[in-house]
Amino acid sequence: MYLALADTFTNVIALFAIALGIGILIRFLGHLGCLAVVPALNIFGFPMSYAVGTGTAHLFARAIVDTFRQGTMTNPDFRRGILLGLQTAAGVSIGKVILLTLAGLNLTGAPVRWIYIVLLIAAGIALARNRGPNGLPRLPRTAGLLPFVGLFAGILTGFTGASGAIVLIPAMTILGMTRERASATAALAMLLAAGWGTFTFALGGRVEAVAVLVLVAGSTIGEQIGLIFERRVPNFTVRKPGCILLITTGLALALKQFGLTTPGGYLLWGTSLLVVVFVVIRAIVGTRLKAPDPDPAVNKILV
Amino acid sequence: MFEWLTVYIAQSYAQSALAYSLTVLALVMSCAAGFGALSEVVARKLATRDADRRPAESRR
Repeated sequence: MYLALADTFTNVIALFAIALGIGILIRFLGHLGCLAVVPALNIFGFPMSYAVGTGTAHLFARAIVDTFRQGTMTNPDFRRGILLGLQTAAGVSIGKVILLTLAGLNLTGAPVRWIYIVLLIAAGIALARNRGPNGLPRLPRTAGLLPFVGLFAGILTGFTGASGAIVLIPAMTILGMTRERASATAALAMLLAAGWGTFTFALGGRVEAVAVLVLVAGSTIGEQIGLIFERRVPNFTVRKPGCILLITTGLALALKQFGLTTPGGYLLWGTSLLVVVFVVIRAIVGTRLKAPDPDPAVNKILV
Repeated sequence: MFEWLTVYIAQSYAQSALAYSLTVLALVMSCAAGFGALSEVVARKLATRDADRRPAESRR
């Protein structure tokens, strides 16, 4: 399919398959799953600034989908969430200006790709070793740092299209908030910041609306497949395919960085398809676990 | 398949960037809200099925 704004061709079926894999990742790994969106778009032919703009719009769509999930918006700190959202939105604008300036000099690709390679491989390894924000140290009464955290999260989102929640949730947990409240507050902040990011990137002509819709449809369906799979296998098993897909996305992006775009594309597409097939087969033939309690087991939030 | 749509989108962006960005916002919001509502319906159905199964499991 020819995308007139980005002036590039992309394969819609491959994009949808990747979106299914990303949906499963989001189900298993929460916000970390969204890390795979921009690399996937870049590998499939989007120039980096268009990949980031489209990824930010996908983040906004995900934030709206998440508000429907029971437990996501339960008991957020509204005042702090809105303030953080405004600070993160300001950071998004700064990140976008840096990105578009670099895009004007044709220097966007390499820095953003290297950030993603490090983020994806580090996140995949950390999750495989089962380290989450629960084990983080707690600092007493240092909430004055939060504006800087919000600004940094916004710059990360505006420059790379990665969800700022991966910074906000651990930061708020370290600064003394409970993990559930931190998740809900970060979701509120990201709803505001990603909405602003979508508007400004679209104003700059960097959002491919059709690609966003394909991504949202695929990731929502993938999330439902992941939900069915989750009920068939123990919790620690469902993380493994997610970690593998995160690390493989980082490796595929490294291949793209070294000029091996086609092998990178096949690696990403093949792994995503394998994960989807594995998950579907386990969902169909797996032994059903004991029925979960009605508390939000189906709607848990992970960083 | 969707070429006409992408070309139309590019033309509308060329005519008015502000109108295009507001349209994208509205489109993303409405589609995401639709998908969110659908996924919540599926999640509730699964939860209801689990609730129906729980007494049968406890009898065993």
